[in-house]
Amino acid sequence: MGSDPVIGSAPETGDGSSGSGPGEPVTRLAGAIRRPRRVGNQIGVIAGIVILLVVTGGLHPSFLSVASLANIAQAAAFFGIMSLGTVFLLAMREMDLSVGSIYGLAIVAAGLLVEHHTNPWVAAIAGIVLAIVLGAVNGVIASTFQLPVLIITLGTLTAYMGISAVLTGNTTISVNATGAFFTDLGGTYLHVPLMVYAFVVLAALLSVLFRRTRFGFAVRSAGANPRAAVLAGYRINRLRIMVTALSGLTCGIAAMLTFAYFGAADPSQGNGYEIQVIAAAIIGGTSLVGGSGTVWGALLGALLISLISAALIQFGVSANASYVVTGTVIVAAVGLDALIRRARNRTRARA
Amino acid sequence: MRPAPVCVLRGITKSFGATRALDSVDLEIVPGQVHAILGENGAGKSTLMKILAGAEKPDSGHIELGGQPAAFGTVREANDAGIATVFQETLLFGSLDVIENMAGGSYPTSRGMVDRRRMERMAAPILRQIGLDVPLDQPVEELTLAQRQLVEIAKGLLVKSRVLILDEPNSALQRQESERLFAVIRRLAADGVAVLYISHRLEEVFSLADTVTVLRNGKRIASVPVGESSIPEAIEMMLGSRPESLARSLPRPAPPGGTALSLTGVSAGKEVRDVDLTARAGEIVGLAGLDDAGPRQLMRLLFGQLKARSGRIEVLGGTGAPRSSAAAVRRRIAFVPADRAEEGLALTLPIVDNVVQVHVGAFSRSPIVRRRQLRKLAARALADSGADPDRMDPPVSELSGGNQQKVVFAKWRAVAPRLVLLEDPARGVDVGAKTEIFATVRELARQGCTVLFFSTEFQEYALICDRVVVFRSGSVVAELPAADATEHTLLGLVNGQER
Repeated sequence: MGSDPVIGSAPETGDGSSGSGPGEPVTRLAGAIRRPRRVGNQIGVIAGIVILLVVTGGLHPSFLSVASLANIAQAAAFFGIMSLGTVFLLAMREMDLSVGSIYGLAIVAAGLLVEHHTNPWVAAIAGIVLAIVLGAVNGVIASTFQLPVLIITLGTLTAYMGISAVLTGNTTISVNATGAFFTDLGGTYLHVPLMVYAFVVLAALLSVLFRRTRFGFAVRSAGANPRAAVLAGYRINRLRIMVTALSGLTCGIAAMLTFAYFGAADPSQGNGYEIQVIAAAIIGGTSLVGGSGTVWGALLGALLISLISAALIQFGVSANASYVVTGTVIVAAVGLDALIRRARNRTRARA
Repeated sequence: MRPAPVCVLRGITKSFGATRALDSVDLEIVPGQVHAILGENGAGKSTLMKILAGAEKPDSGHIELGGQPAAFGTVREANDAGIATVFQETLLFGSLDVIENMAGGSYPTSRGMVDRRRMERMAAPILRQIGLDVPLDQPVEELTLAQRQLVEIAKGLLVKSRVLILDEPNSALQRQESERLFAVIRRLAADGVAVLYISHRLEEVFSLADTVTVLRNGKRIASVPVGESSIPEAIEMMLGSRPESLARSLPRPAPPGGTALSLTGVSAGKEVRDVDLTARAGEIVGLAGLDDAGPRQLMRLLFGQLKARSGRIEVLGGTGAPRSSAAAVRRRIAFVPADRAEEGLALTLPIVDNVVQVHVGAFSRSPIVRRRQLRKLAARALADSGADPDRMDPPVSELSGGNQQKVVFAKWRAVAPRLVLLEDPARGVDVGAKTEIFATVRELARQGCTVLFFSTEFQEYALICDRVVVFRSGSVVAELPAADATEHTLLGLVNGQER
């Protein structure tokens, strides 16, 4: 890690005995304005992914086949796309529990429209717009009552899920899944489903949005100290609504890709996704205290979660038991985050 | 002739990462004496106190208490051994009330249940002593900063202590409240308690303390009886070779320009009553008053954080106060709040991110964050504010209080403000940083910026202001030129004495 030049150290802090030389404490956070550090917080996730691939692949070579890996990546994309939006929320000290329900309702809406002979492309756009609105509603309510989004989405999680159930009578809507929408969007290219490409492209776009734009900067500022951000002229309510809408957008995109892939709208689709969605962001290195985050980390976190399930199945462990492992990994990730933060605080010279 | 020390520290050394905060410091604390610890921010005062208080562990060295070796793993252990501490930052629980906060972890119980009555009986005389008159069941988050500080002090006094550590206990207190605190401290000392007192206010220290120890860069420079030293000598020891230049020496050639701010009959909230006030471009106007007397609230009003009930407001050519802080910022109004950590800075973000925060949020047109351009902007703003322009990547939390405040100034300098509202801008800041901060304020005024200045330290008004407007109970009661705004005069006016 190339440390930035610290010329002449800092006389005012009174650390004259041992200034800040090249061996500066490793207490730097990735910010927009300083040179970015790509890896860093993600070393643990990457190591986990590599170890899982090597160990499982060594024992079951078929695990490393293109088809198997593509499957794992696709499973990650289903919920991982939503994790990308969750990074923005976490960076603002917020959390959206209704992501799975928004995703499900968007699929149901698009399915119903297609069932009633709407052009699937139009239906998909409607589904995405609906998802954005549902997300924004969370933000509007939270801002109106000045409550955390988490609290509001405890309610909307159930409400949105209920709307899906009411609209469908709790049965899956099968549509005539022919035409370019289903074959192209739901298709596979070079043995890899389109959804996986979309996941990577979205991660790239949102990573730029997070790190390099005024919007991303504002989100991190507001998350690091909301009160200070308000007093620096930030419109924090508007920002919160934009972030929840963005989270909705990622739900909508994930939903439409899922819809295209399955060619059916199952109202229970997305139930319980919120745990994996948020876990992927946290495992990826986005801290819960706000002010920082990593979009690529969320992608890696989703891959790790998906890999864990696949590997356990490979070893004959039941899918139910994989929840135990995933849960443990979440706790470990959160614990690690706290440990790192404490270590950082300890290196701080405050006299 | 001196009584035996109750507590002895030998060779205390402590490092944080690469920074040596304390370098083999010795200290002897004598019962019945007030022992002041002086030093600039970053000299190691707070670290030393934290070690004695059990909040930090030393890397090496040892502590003796009453002749026995002692090592405290926690504040609780230190408390039990008779060392009570009032920390610099208030560590209160906002949603708990005054009594619950004072009780902390040692709530008296009867039959397994907390005994609130007994706790109240224990707390009441202490609160009376220090003059904190608030309902005992009021959540502390509803108290003012000064009141919270008094709760913190009361909590420390509750412990039956042999050694009482006070780390800048009056940084948010007004003179009257401070005087009352000093009386309490003197009484405790007379009862045989050893008091360790940390403060930046040298005059107070010299009137209160029996012994003064000066730290610089983590080393003990001297421990002397106050009678054998003087304020200039102490400053000399604190600063080393650096000259002290807190005098009103900087040139202010540009005369104030046209009217930038005009208030007529303005009332807001409970605290601002029928205020008339004008300020011209390039003028530094002091707003003096006690905590809730109006200046602070007036600043919040001008920054869109408080609504006016009545009156006419004209700011920078616009009519009416800004409706939100976002609107205020866009009208190029800057606000430096007293509470840096809560309201001024995003401590976990890098210095550079804090410096460009206002610019990016309100003035940058480009949707993309232009890194190189912003770093240049930040470097200039930091240099203009007396901070190190080459140190912009560590989180702000790594800086000392004085340097953090320079970052706050840099943040506003980066957007060329036209009206600057300063709420205790030199709070908890050492002499050197204070000089630089005041120089920055003067430079802003020289460039035509209007400055409104509030401070809890009354001697600052004469140093920095062109004129001072005095508030009492929300109304303007006097206006005087800087030359007449002595600490003595201001104190009299804010406390209700006529000139």
